[in-house]
Formats: sequence, C-alpha cells, structure tokens
Amino acid sequence: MAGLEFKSVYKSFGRTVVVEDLNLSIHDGELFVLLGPSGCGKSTILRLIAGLEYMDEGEIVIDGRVINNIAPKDRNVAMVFQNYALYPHMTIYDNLAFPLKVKKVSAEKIRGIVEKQASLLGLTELLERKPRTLSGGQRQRVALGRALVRDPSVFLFDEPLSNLDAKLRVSTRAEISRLQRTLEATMVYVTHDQEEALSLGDRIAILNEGRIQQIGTPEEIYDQPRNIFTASFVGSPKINLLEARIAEDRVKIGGNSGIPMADSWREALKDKTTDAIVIGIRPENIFYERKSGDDLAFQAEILHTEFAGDRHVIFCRLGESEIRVKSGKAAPSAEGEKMELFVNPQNCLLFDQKNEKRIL
Amino acid sequence: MREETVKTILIAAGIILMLSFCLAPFFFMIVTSLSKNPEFLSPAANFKLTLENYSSVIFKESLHFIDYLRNSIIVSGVSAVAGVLTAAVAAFAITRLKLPGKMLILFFALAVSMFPQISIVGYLFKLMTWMGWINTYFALTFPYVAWVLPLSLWILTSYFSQIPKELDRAAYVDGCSRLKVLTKIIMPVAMPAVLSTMLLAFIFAFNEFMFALILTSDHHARTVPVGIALFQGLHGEIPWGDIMAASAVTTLPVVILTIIFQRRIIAGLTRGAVKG
Repeated sequence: MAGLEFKSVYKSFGRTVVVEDLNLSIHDGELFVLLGPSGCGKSTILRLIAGLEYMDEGEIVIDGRVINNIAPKDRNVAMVFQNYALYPHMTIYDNLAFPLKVKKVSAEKIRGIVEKQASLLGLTELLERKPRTLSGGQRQRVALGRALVRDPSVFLFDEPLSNLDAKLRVSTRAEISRLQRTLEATMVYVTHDQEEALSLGDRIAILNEGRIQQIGTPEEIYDQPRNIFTASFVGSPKINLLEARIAEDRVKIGGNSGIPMADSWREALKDKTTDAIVIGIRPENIFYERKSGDDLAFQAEILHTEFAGDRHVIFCRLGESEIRVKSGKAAPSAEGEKMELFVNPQNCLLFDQKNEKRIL
Repeated sequence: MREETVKTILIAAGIILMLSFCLAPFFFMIVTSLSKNPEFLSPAANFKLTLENYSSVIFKESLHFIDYLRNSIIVSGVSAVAGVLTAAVAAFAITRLKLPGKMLILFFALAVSMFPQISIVGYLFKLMTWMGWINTYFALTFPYVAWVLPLSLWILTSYFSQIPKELDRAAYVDGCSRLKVLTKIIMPVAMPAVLSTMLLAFIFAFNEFMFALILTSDHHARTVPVGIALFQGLHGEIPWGDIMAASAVTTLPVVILTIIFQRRIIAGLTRGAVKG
C-alpha cells in the first residue's frame, strides 16, 4: 500500500485540455473519491495513474517513486471498470488467475490465492462458469476479485457501480467500503454520483473542466462548498441558488422585495465592493414555521409537490427563481397558494456572483 | 385462404426458386460426374450410373488431379493463415494504437485490392522468374497473402473495433505487454471472426485462377482450378465426366471446412458481449 501524489500534471487531447495543473496528494490507506460531471477529466486522471494515458507535463509519484515512464504492467496498480471488462473467453477462475499467470506465479500458488479470494467474495460456485452466464452484480464481484488477487499498491475504481441496479449499488458500495477498511488499501474512486461520493469517500476532490474545485472531507464539501459549482453539484435535491442584489437592509431577489438582511451577512459583505451576490440555501434548511428569533421570513408561491418517501419536496416560486423545499412531510398549503417560509441566516451560503466564490 | 398461409406459401416458393437457381449447376455437376455418358441429356443416350469418372480422376496418374488438389490445399491454407495473422496484427495497430493516417492505410489497402489481376500478372511473372520461384509454392503463396490481406484487414478491423477498449486496459493493468494483449485477449475474443476470415481467405485463394495459370507450369505447383481447366487439352475431346468429377471432389475441402468452422462461427456470433 502506498500514498500517491500528483505534481502539476497537465494532459490534453489535441486542443482540448482535459487535466490542468493538477496538484493532489492522496494518503496511504485512504479512499479518495474524484467526483465530477462527465468530461471533467476524472477518468483521465485514473488512466494517468494506471499508465493507460501519458501526461504532457508534471509528475505522478507512488510511494516515493516517480512513475511517469513506467509501463502499466510494472506500476502494480489494479483497476475495476464500469463495464467490468472481464475476459469473455475465460472462465471466472481464469479471469481471477490472469494477473498472476501473467506475472508467472506458480500454478499451485495461483490456485490457493484464487480460491481464497473467491470464497471471500462468494464466487466459489461460479469458478467454472463464463462471464456471460453471470449477473451484473456477480460480474462486478469477479472484477473486484481480479483486482484483489494482485495485492496492488493502489486500487483504481472507474465508476464501478454505474451499471448496477439501485439495490445492488448500495450493497456493493458497502462491500467496497468494508474491503477498504479491512485491507487499509489506498483506493482512488471515480464517480459522477454525488451520493456515492459522500457515503464512500474519506476525502473527495470535486472536478470541473479539468480543474480541482475543492478537496475535502464529505462534510466539508457539503457544508462549506468553496464555490457555486461545488455547492450545486453536491446534494439532492439541488441547492437553491438565488441571484440577489443588496439594497440597504434588504436583499432583493429578482423583482421581488426580497428578504431582510441578516447581521452576519452585513458583516461579511462589509469589505466587498460587489452588490451582486448569490444566496445558496439547501432545501432541507427552509422551514414552514419559525424555528428561532433571527430566522428570515419570505413569501413564495407553491408550484407543485413531489413525494420523496420520508418527506415532500415542494417547488415554489420566489421572484424569478424556483426554489426547492424539503423539510417536512406534507405541504401546509395547496398548489398555487402563497406560503410563508423561514430560513436561518446561519444556514445560508453567500457567493460572489462574478467569480462564483463563496463569501460566507 | 388466410393471410398467414399465403405468406408461408410465398416464402416457401421464393426459397425453392432461389435454391434451385443456386444449386442447379451443382446438381448438374453431380449428375454428370456420375453418368457414364456425358451427353445424357440428349434423347439418344440414357443416364447410366457409374463411379468411373471419380476413380479416373483420383487414380489416373496422368491427370495429376490429386497433385493439384494437394497443391491447392497447401497454397491456400498457408496463404489464408499467413494473410489473416498479418491482417490481425495490422488491425490491432489500426484499432488500438495512436497511428496517424489510419483511414489512409485502410483505404489504400482497399484501393490496391481493386486493381484488376491482369494488370499486375505480367510483372509478377517477370518478378517470379527473376527470383526463380516460377512453378513453386512460393510463387503463389506470396501473391495470395497480399491478395487476401485487404479483405481480411477490413473484416478484422471492423470486428476488433467492436471489442471494448476497456478489455485492453484491464489487460495492460493486469500486467500484459502489447503483444500479450493481442495474443491473449484480442485474438481469442475475436476467434470467431479470425476463423471465418481465414475460411474466406482460404476460399478466395482456393478459387484463384489467373495467378495460378501464369505462375505455374505443371503438377508440381499447379492448383486445381487451372488443372481442371487444362484437362481438356489432354485428350482430343472435352472430358466432361472427368471435369465434373474433379470439380465435385474439389468442393469437398471447402464444404468440410465450412461445416467444421460453422459451429464455432455461429457460437461466436451469439456469444454475449462484455456488458450485461
């Protein structure tokens, strides 16, 4: 097991810059998640680690060793792919044994390792079968097993759960998490699913257009996003982002008279020259009734309601913007009606509209 | 009559028409080869069953039919295997490596394959004479490899490009070199395509006439199509019985190969993809 470090890594395909000035250090024994929309360069970063792509500039260091010019087969990393990438012409046993056979490990040793791993993953019954006869979940366990037999220094996961159905996704996620803790393995996990990232990662890096937006623990990412992109990418339903203008002691949202200014906001905005801000409020932080004395109150019109099991998601209109509220079971008013909503200023995030960075 | 019945009858009639159109020459070939009198169709003569024609092509040494058959099988077999293996390496490079002008290579191969054979056979004859290869297996094998290469390259390129790249990636990460990825992963996965391409290449080479006519001079290297065509010169008259018997025997290797490979080819076509 080993730590992993990127030092100003650049990568572009033709004229498209995919990874730009990447500096990142992944600790030994950590499950590190790369989270971002498709095309943000997260899979490319994984391939750079595996040696399947070569970087244009910079250095990648595994365990103190610069691996830039080392062939994939000598990097001792293991990778699990989204579409499993099992070898269709081989039995499950041969699939699991393949990395060892290539390394010329003796047949008896291979048998021992493969059988042990198969029983750990519940694949013993399937060893003589071909991948095409297996279900998606079984295939992904085989892919996992093929990575595990190697005892690699780093595990790479490229959206391994995207092809599984919702139920399997949750159980496989738990399995990966358990494996990581028992093996104390260094894992780099790529996903576009923010829920997966939050539940699985020790730390998360949010990527957009080849650049890291923020690195932090799941809590930091969720509660203290550094910019609008991070705030809107994480959380479901999406965070409410209201473009607002500061006018005296009120914050005007669209043409609306807006909401009163909180003291803490005034303090934070004191040194700012801009008066155009974006207010970010998580849907679960907007309430139907006043919770404390300094809550801000505002009027909104209910557009429609969605049932989400434990709660209702209510879509309302506030000025020009739509806002989502998810804080209680059943809406207190019917569609089309006005209702009063409350939010505590402490639960609001303020962003600069121009550079999209967070102010408070 | 119900619509379904009409449909069935029409389809059946269509199939019978097509089959008789395709198979009539073969039927004629078989019947003639088994007939004592090649002109059995004329009202004066009756059809009399005999195996004489077969025994004469197989056992009469002056006809050299067995030599021709052996030459054909060796030349076509070697050409097919060598051609398809070369094409496989090329297809791997074209589909897997960062190679400038990939499409140019493919279209160049296609363009070359469109040259009429007659336009190069003269120069080929000079070349083979100069190399002293006239009337040897080499004189046929090398042009045949080149001749089946473009077709094999196109088939294999299209098949290889359908194999998910993640299989390669998995293999590289699992410790393979490029050559190992080709031999341990791509080739076995593409085995049905490789085999069917080999079969096609074999049939191509097996049926080839022009090169074989010009580049060989006797039974040491002459192949079956040329051999049979030259039967007629051996006697004053056209020995239809011998020609048809020889043709019937010649179709056997191709039919046998097709039957052997068919199971694997179909098994391959129905094999589940990587994703599920």
